[in-house]
Amino acid sequence: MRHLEKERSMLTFKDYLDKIGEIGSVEQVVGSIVYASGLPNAKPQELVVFENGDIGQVFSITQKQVEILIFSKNPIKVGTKIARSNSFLEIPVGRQLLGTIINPFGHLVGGKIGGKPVEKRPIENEPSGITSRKTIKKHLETGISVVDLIVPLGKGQRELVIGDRKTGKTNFILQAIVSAAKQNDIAIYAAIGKKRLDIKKAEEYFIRNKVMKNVVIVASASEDPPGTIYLTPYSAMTLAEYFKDEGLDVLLVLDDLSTHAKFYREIALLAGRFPGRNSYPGDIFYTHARLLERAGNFATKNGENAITCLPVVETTQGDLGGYIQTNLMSMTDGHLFFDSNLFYQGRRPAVNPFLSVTRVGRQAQSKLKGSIGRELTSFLNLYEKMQSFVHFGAELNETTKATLATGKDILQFFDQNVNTLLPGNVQILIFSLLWGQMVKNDKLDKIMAEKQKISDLYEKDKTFRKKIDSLVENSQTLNDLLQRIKLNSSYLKLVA
Amino acid sequence: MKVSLTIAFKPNQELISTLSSWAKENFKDKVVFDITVDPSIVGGAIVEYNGLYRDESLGKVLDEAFRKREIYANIQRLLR
Repeated sequence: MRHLEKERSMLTFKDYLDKIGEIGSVEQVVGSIVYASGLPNAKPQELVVFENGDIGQVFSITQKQVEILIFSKNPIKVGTKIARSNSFLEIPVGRQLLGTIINPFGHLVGGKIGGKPVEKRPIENEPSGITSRKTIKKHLETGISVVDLIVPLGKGQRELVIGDRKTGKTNFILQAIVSAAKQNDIAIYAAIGKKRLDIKKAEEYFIRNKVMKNVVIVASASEDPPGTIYLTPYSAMTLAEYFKDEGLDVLLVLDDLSTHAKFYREIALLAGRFPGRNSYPGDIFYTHARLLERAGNFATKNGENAITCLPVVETTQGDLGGYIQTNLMSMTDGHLFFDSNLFYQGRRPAVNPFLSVTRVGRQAQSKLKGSIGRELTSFLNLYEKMQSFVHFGAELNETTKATLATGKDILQFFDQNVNTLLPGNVQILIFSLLWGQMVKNDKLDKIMAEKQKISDLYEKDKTFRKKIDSLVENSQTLNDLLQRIKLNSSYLKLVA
Repeated sequence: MKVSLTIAFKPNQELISTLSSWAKENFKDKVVFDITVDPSIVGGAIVEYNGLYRDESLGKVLDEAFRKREIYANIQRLLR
């Protein structure tokens, strides 16, 4: 009986024909674009149904023909009949999707689903207007000290993650997701045209860190049709908007938009669009801007909630001036640059603090973190300069030697592997031990090597956590904090 | 102008001439009928013209009746 009911609720090709009363027929097939005659009242972006049950989306309309983007791998034959549906692409949304991997149509492809979502939302949505937007005030903790201290992010910020391939971009975003999910935010990972193995690895990483219950992966694989890959970030954004409206802060990662642009270029060229710069179509900027405009910090009925968006883009040989790269830079509130040279020097994560930008993150930081950030930036500048002196083989005085040693320690402090996540206050504690030279060198090395242990202790041991939290919260500036640690030796004992 | 017609039986000459004289009277343009025979529609016709589609077949009426279970109800009433 239930089966029958399900069948009745799903409309077939014939039902749509009878309901709408319009028919079309496939005239020409070019890759994933179908040219069809008929369908006199088809609308842009409307869904259409083929005779064989496949669905497509109206891509554009000319006087004589309708261009349809197809989403199936099965080839469509010339002469196949098409019906309009008078509806637009929608995906199911709901908390039931947490812990799952879905494709851009909302179908389950992995993980366990908690029930059937009841609500549906269109995947293309007008971005909220200026009146519903709020100033970004909350700090987003990524657990990566170099980002949290030097290029801090705010909740609702759109920060581009940019860098060559194999420079640790994906590792960084996976860590940021785990960190956000651990703080009970919702994290959505949009894997756009990724290898299935990479999608699986991401899922395993989340499961290993026990955060999958707060994560949804919206994935399309590299072998999926271009139309499906093109839809991925829009579906993910729709899902993010649902959770935002539910009163939750969302971290949305779009990995990556250069692949997205390439697939959109493929579709546009097949559809005979005039090729522009690097053969991208003229509306490639709009394609990305209308997506990223949907992120931000919003006033919702449940209070103030943010969609923080981290789009990823790949560069070739560190060239930040590429077309898609600069387009995205102009849409986002800053970028984190993953430098391949730093990566080869062994820096993990290879974030270049001098070439990275954050436009709104600092206003969301606490006073103390801000003062640490300023201190660190100016010191790192000095350290870079000094390092170039050393190359000349000049004899070094004591101050220079001390600066170089501290610089080395700081780089060691920033060094974090994939499995190390440091809560904000632990970052501050370790940094102040280093900066204030509170512990001897060999001990400092030990602390640096065992950062994760301190972080674990902070998460498990409530008294330890309380002590550190109150220390950090009561300190207004870095000097204030250092003073407090010096006066009270129990903090040093804690770490020991 | 092309009109596609789907009917349930093979049309005889009489039907074709009736159709063409009706089309001449009612349309300005010359009409080409593309007739397909499909017995599964039982009776009536399906008309397609310029992307518009109208199913006026008996098959559709029967399908809808079965779907709404009216026929079952009527048969059950008769049996009672």
